[in-house]
Amino acid sequence: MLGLEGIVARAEALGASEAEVYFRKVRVITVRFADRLESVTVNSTSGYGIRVALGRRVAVVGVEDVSREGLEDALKSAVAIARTTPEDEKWVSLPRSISTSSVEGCFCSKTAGISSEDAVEIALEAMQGVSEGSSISKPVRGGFEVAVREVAVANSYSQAVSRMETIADLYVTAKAEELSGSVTFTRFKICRSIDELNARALGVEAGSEAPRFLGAKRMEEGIAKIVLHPEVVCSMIDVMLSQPLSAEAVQKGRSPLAGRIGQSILSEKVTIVDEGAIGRWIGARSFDDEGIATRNNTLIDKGILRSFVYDTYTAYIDGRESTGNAWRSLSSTPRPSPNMLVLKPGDSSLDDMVSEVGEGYYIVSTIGEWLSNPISGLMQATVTHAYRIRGGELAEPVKGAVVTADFYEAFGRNLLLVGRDITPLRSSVAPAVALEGVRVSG
Amino acid sequence: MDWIDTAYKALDKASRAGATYADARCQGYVYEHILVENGSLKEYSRTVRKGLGLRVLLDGSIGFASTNDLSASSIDEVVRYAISAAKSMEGSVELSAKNPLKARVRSSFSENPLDPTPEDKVSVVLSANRESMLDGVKSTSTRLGIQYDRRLIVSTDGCEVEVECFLVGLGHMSVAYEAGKLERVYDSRSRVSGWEFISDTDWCDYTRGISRLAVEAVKAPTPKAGVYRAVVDPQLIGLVIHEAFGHAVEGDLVASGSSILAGRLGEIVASPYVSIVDDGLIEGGYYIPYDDEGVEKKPIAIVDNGVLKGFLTHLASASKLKLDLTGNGRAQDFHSQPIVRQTNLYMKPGSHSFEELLEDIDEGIYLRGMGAGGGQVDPGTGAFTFSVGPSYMIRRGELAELTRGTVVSGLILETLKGVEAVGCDLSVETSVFGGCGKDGQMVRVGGGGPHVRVKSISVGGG
Repeated sequence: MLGLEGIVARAEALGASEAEVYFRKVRVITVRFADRLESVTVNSTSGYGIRVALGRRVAVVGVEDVSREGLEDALKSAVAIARTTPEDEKWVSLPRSISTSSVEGCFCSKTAGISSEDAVEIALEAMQGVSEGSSISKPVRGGFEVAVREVAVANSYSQAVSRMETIADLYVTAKAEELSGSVTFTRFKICRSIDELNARALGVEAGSEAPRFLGAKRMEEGIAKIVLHPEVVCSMIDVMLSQPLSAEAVQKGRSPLAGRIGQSILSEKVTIVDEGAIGRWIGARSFDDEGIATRNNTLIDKGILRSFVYDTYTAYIDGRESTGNAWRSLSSTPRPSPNMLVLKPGDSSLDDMVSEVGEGYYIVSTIGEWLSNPISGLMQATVTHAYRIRGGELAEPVKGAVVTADFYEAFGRNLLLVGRDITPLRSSVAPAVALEGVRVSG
Repeated sequence: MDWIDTAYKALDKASRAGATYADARCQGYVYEHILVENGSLKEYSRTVRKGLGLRVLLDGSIGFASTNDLSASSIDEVVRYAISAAKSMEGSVELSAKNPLKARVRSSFSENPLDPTPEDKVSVVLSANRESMLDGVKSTSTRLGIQYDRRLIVSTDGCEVEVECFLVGLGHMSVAYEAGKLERVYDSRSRVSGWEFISDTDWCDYTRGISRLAVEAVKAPTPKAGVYRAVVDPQLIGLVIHEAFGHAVEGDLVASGSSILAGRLGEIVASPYVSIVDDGLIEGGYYIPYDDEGVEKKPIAIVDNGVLKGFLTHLASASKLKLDLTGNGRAQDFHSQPIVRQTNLYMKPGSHSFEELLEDIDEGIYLRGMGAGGGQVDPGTGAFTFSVGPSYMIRRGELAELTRGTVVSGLILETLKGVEAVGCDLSVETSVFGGCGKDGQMVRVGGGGPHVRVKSISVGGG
């Protein structure tokens, strides 16, 4: 098998003026369960993303056929495609040098060495936790996944860089049932190490929370004050800001934030940092998918837009350096996207926020927030689990309405409070927030 | 060594290691994607995948392992992983017995879509993109997708089925700008076909149409939030019944009790005008003559005149629910285990013309799928939400002004019981750019139906 530098050299021998190889090898153990264990899966896969340029003609081929012939075919096909496609006038070059930043905590050797038996034990703990959470709750769906990933990048200008990372990812859906009806509730956690996971506690949480939503009534239509759970906020900032903050969207005329650097776009309570170099976050890594060292980059500082995120291609267009934000699949061109959007916490507790809202809703979970429109700024989600807030306290459970708001107003002048406790998801971290002026319909 | 030998060797080793049942699935996959943005080529990419997945049943437990390295030592490792995975559990899984089918089939085409030169392919996308740059349009992107998927399954009960399929399509997005507001409209058309689907279609006309809609939509108001009587177009009705109903009839969700339709076979779940079918070979849909467990996919009546008639099953859920196999065990790829998936779920046409559907509506909305962005459902509560594209208000039985895309939501059983009339048209579509996600697996699906009038649906507004 050729090393990465050997593959680059082979692409150049076939006619490429520049070549880049992105290598990824992943082993994933997955345990799935419903009311009992369903299956254990072990997937091993490796592959190459090959980007070649012939002058300004560029092509990308992804190959997971890792035989010598498979790789040779991929290199030949990349060069053949590049030879016949039109020039990209904006192409300058691949990254001229690649390097890594020092990011601690992305890899846990204990997690990497887990066996399928260990993974089953963790899933069982989560399932048992559900029944411990409440005698009327049982697990109905869940999954535990442990991934060990090796990533390496080399190109015509630099030797290879490589890194290892681990991810432990658990979700558990509990169903609470009594004569009058039933309800499901899901909790999830994603982290770098099985030691941080605490599967039993997650199961207990799902099992004990589910019954609280039994008998939920429909929400009333109107304009309301709401508190959003940190996980809902994570999804919202991810959906509403990831694309607009990408230099690619800005350059292509698809970002409502184009031309607004230095301007106030959100409330001064909002500071958002792209923390690509904080190892415990799942989106963090020591170098991006082009081999550029990552960093922590303040994008929105007290409501003022400070920066977009760049890969090498978009950075050349704006005459600046990449911010280490290239993401790619094996067969796609790298594109800039935030590594890990972190909404910095404020100082309010959940009680403070519920009290501030007085009359309204505490929205615990939603579906369909990804249907929001980051271009127009229309934020929307369908509420599956929420509580009515009455007299500044949590009251009866409610569900089944669509909440909509203009994101820039909601997190602008309508932002009342920012919570102090943060929760991480896969690509964002956020605390709870309290908002006013949110439309509830349906 | 060819695939079949590799697959049988894996089966043989699994049996000798104690598996009472095993199936080995090999897959070869090629995907070409050409993306043109604002008049210039942004990406020409090609994905090539090959690998094997092995599932074993041992003492009531399922173990599964996969690899893209087909060397003998790697296959040995896959067998070891699958067996040890099964041994790590105490299971009580049973799999329904299936017919030991032997079949080799391929979707029909005239010209292999991977054959045209890269220049010819890029030229189609470039011209379709450049034609869409109308006044008021700020940004455009056009993509061409070509998929070749070859799947083989062999199992210890004597099944050997190979399916090859080509899927091609073109998608386009226009972003229009007006007075500080942006609006995007995305749409795509795909077909199980050869290159002829691309060469025989006027894509410039198609992308201009999308741009015109974006330019109109950005000037249009958002519909006032509220509950409306509505006519839903085929594209959207396909999405609604897929998301909000189809998932609830998936046998694994039914068996685990997380579907609102569990235990309700034979009950009235929709208005008498509603009949819903899951069909692997319907015109316009994806090509699924056999599922990934080697079971023949026959058309299955899910709802017949409002009555719930069937659930979709795979080997494990059919056994658990004591139902027949329906050929709905599908896997994203060789790395994934088959789970219960829809194929092409559609509503059967009725007898009304489009005008007849509109005529009784004093004030309502004609909800359209073009430009819609998908949907999601919580199968435990039946709550659904999905986006709709630019749509028209209906006033006094006629189409009125255009409104911007928004989101609609509801509870599925209430919505389907409120179907008042069903149109006589039928359109089923699939997509080479997307599909349906479940448990981290994405599979190609198709869906559609006729135009349908519903009594009430909640429109989100904004």
